[in-house]
Amino acid sequence: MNNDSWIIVADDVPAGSLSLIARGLGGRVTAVVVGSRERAEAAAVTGVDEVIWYAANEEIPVEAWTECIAKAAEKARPRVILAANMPMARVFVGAAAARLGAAVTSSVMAVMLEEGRVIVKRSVAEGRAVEVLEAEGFVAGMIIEGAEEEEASSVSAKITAVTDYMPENNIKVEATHVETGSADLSSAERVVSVGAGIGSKDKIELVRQLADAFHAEISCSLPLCDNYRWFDHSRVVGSSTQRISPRIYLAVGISGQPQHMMGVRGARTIIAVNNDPEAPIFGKCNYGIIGDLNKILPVLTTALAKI
Amino acid sequence: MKSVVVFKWAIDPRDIRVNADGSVDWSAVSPWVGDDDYLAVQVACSASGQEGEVTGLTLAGGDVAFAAARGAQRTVAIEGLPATADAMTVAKALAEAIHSFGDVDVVVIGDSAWEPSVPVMLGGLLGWTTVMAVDEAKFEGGKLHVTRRFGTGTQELCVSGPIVLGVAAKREEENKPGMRAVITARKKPVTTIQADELMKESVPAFTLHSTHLPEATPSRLFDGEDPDGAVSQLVQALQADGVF
Repeated sequence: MNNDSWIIVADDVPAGSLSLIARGLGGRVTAVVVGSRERAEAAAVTGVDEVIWYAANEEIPVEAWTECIAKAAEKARPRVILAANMPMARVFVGAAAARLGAAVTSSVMAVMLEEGRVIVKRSVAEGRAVEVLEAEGFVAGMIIEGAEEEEASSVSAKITAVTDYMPENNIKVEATHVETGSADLSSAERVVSVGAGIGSKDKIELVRQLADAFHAEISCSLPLCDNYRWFDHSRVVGSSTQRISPRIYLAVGISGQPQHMMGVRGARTIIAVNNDPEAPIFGKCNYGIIGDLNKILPVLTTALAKI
Repeated sequence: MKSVVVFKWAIDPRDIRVNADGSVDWSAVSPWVGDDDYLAVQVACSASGQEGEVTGLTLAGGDVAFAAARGAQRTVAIEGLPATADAMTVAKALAEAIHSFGDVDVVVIGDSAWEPSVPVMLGGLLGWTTVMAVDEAKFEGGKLHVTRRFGTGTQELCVSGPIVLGVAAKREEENKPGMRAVITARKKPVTTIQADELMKESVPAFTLHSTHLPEATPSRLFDGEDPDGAVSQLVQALQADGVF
């Protein structure tokens, strides 16, 4: 068996972490990209050896390429297939893994080869433990959210456009609706998030000023949408709403309940500001200030504006 | 249309016990109703249309009236699959059960944050078109129309042929069935299938080598009694650690 790997990119998330983990196997890394030329070019500078690009257009949903990619995987037989935990990329992992007869897992932190076996480290129990798994054959999986990213490489891998396959014709796009005014938190590098600890609606202005100074998007916990109606649903982060992976997540007045924190497991750095020293978030953040939000936020806004 | 809705199939990771030495105790886990399960039943009912049929499929024992109380006509429960079964084994058992039902047009499953591999593996093993992040599905004009989240908005798809839909609920269930509906649901037919009848072939699986605790990332906390001092310390720490 070879020690080559595929990373599948079908959503607009950085592919650097996928490439970094896949390179741990020591073999050739191929990025299989479905989507725009821009997406293929972004993948090409993540340290992969080559890019195979399936061009998708507005009328054909990405999933129409599933059978093509499954067949390609069956032909190329990569030892490991990885993707981000995103809706479209995962579909390709499922199809390719079924075709190869791969062992499948999620929350992958690292892969390596040892005496012909693939060793996978993955996070379990909501990050409370790490499992080390072994597989004799093929492996497929989704990587952990918030995995380490690398700076883009100065070398761009060759991009080969696939032209001799046709997508499936049983699924078509009827309409695409872009919600204007909705938050696009999925790609935000910086997010300031507010919870019920903010106290009152008029204090939200302090959070907006902080977010503006920090060039950050704003998100909130579920009660601020469903209970208080202070934000629309596109701003809610949590296990049952949307999960995000910003580089910096600044939580203001958020207690740190598991349902909310599941939504930001992918954040690289979590900073918390809360007046309750017993708030669970102080056990889950990287940095924190314990104190009165009304006094701290204006000072923090001024300081972050200078960064 | 004939639909199958998979419910009460994923284990809650909060039930997994981690000991101080990094060993993991799975003894308390069992398949549980997920946050998305109620929406999966709604979508299955809508996708089937008024003349359609919905079958609930679960890995759980005990009270399995969840789907029946929300519109499914019958329930099939797979018995004998260990709660600690890996994603491929779970998906394989579900796929084999669905194959045994005969002609099925739509399978709906909660796109569980607890186990993101199973829904897509189910689609892969069935060999059907698979779409995740689905909000709703309707059977109209002889075709299935699916709405899924797409970027910051939504996308409407038209699908023919069998399909697997992974749904993710945005909010908690608002109109839970009352006790009368649940009691009525318990009278609907429930069939059990033994897992070893379904799993004739072995599935590719991992071997557990070891477990350990994650590397600790202690929080650096600053006393906000002096806001200027605390903010200054925070910013210095962030800059020194290269966070910006």
